[in-house]
Amino acid sequence: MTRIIKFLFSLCAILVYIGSASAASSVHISVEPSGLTPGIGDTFYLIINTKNIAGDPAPITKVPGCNVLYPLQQRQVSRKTVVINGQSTTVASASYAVTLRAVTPGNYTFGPITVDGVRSNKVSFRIGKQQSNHAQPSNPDPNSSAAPVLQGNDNGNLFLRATVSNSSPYEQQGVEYVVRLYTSYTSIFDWTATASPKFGNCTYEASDAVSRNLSLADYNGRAYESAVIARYIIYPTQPGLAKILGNAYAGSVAQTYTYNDPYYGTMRKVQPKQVEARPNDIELNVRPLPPHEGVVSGVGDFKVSAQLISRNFKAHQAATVRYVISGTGNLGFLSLPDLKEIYPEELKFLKSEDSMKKQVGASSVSGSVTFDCTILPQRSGEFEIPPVKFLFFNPEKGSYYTVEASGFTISVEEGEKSSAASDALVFDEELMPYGTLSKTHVLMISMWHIWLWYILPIVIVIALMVIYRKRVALMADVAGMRMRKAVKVAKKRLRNAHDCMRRKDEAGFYEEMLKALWGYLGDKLSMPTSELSRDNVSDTLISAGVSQQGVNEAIALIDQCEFAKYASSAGADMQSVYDAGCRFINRIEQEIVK
Amino acid sequence: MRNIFLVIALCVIAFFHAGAETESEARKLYESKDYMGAISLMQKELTTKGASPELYFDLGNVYYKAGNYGAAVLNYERALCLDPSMDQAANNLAVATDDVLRINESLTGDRSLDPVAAAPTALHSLSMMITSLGSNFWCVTSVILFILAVAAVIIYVFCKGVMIRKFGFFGGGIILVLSVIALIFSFMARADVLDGDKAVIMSREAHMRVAPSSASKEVAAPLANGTLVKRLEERKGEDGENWTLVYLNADYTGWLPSADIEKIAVPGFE
Repeated sequence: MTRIIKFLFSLCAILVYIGSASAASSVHISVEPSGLTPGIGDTFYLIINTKNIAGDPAPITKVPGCNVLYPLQQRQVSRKTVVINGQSTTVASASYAVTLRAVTPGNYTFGPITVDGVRSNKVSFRIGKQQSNHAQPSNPDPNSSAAPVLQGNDNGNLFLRATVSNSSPYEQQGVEYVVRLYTSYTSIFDWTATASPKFGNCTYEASDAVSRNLSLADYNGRAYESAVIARYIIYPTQPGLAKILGNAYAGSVAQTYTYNDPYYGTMRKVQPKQVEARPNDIELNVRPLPPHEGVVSGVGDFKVSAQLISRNFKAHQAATVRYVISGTGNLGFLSLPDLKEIYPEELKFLKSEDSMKKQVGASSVSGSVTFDCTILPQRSGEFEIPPVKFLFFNPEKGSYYTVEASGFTISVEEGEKSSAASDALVFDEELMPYGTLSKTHVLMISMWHIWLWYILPIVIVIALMVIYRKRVALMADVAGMRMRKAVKVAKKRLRNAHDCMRRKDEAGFYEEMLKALWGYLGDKLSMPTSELSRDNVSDTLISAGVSQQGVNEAIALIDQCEFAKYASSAGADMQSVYDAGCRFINRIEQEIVK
Repeated sequence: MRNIFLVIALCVIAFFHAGAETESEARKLYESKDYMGAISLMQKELTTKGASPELYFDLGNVYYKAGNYGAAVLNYERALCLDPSMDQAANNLAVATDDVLRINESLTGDRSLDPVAAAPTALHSLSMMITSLGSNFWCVTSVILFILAVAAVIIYVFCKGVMIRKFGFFGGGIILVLSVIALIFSFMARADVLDGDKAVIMSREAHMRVAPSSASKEVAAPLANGTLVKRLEERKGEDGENWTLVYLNADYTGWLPSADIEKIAVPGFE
């Protein structure tokens, strides 16, 4: 019995303690997000949790190291009643948030504050120098997904605003492009870009420094819940106007409706609503780089270091020299000076390969680019890799500066020459005139008409051989040859007779006439000279188809010529004899049957 | 009518003048070291008007100066396809090829990636001599020798003297044989020029693999831009990309993505 009583008494004491503990009032201050150090420009919260306090805390307008964006905002109110043995105990809790923006780095302490006579604790926090690359801190949302779920008050406004850090940058200078969402909706789901941004002729790097939750911001004298939804570092590549077109975004918002229910009174309903928005376009007035001499290796704030990668150098064997350019700026634009011109001929520069390591911050890109340069020593000896000057442009200062990478002295040993390399090999860098340009190029052997050069000579040779054979056959037929040439020979002899006639050489004239006449008859009738007589000739002419009159004329002419020749009679008309001779031959030609 | 002729004549003059202007502009860009600008102009000429050995040579020079050995080797080879006797192209090709060999050597530390399979044999040297003189040279030689052979036949047939006829007969026979050999060489040189198997690596680095797949093991160290290879076979890989089996030398044969290489054969060349 005593034991039971002791147990019951203890239990009551515990419950009373719990109840009294529950009934006690308290004020507790903390900083959120906990565990993260906000940087300059970051937004964070001072959370005030009250328990069993009747009133609200006074608005807080001053917090060391920070600007107060919103002095007090009630987050949550709850009331819990515990009934034990008919005795009820109520615990009223409330949570408030003060929105702050970190301004000055340092270690700070805030508090204590007094709410309704109850003192709170002190809270310590630190503000770092650099803006955090992590997502903006906010009330933690256990349901957060990859797409931001932005929460805030609800009165239906939403718009996007794009800004740049510099509207008149230099060519290749980094410009921060930020798209900020302003809204008064309770929450926003699945807010994503439905198209990629159009940066014109600018290159860009996307930054991860975007918001995951809404925070308070002012715009045109009105407070909105705001979030950075896109941040890029863009680099204009050409001077002049560069237009950045805002791209479309879409998402769902929670639209709250109130209505009057006949039974339950005023009710509230939350319904999702699709929203689209597009930020404003921006024009950049890109300035060209100031005039300079030499090749600009980069735009930004950079340092250069050089090192020899290869330890041993041999002639005709490739070696590597490394240049590392590190700093902040347009890493993609970094390039080496013309090392082919800078390096001595004995250390032939072949090629360079680059690799980049970068970190994209909220307002700039930093990192390094490593250039591995391959050189080919042409012979053995001591050589100097000269220091290399890199010309950079600092857009913040608007001026150029030079960084010199150290040079090296190397000793090259004898090396094996390649089979292709030759001391006589020198690159011929002169350009040639283009010549005749053609879209098709045909080799001669592919053209069909090239074969004509083979066929035609063969055809010609064959034709020549055929003609020759015919000629030889004709030449072999002596009699036939004589017959065919009879007129020609007679004409020749008649010409000789004509010449004699002109010279008034009667003897010569009649000689030639007789030769022409007898020769013609002998050739034409294929009669040997020994058989040539008047009778034979007459018979043969008759049998050849010549008329008797023609035969008689022929004989008479022969007689006349012989008589004139041997009798030397004066007064014979040579012209008439000549004409008669010509007529005779023509007649025979016409009358004789071939 | 006269006006039409005048207009046509003016257009022709303007056309050639424009071409001359583009050429001089490209030359100025080259001399001022704006290699990308010069390449752009020259490529435009190549696309719109066609090619010539000199244009390919100039392109090769600009690409070499810009550090793109692959494109330099490709253009030098094409210049030699069109004009095998162009000494400047042969010289610069040797320079560029040597640079590529040295780059490959710097990756491996030895000469294992040299495309030359074995020491040149007499047959190989003969083949090189044949192709270096060009198909057109051998074709013209063959035609001339054939005509001389025909002339020798004519001498044999038509001439009377014994000695001269003997000369015609035997001389004609020998010259005819030489003509046929020259004709064969012309075809050989043509086949070499039109050979679609020769290719050059155009990507920055090419990884030869055991199988046509990016996941398969590499056969050798990456090949430098400008390395000459021989195409053996083409196939579509598991990833849907086209792959080509290439022969580098007796020790290395492997698959490369077809996009990494380009055939040397001149487009539009027959």
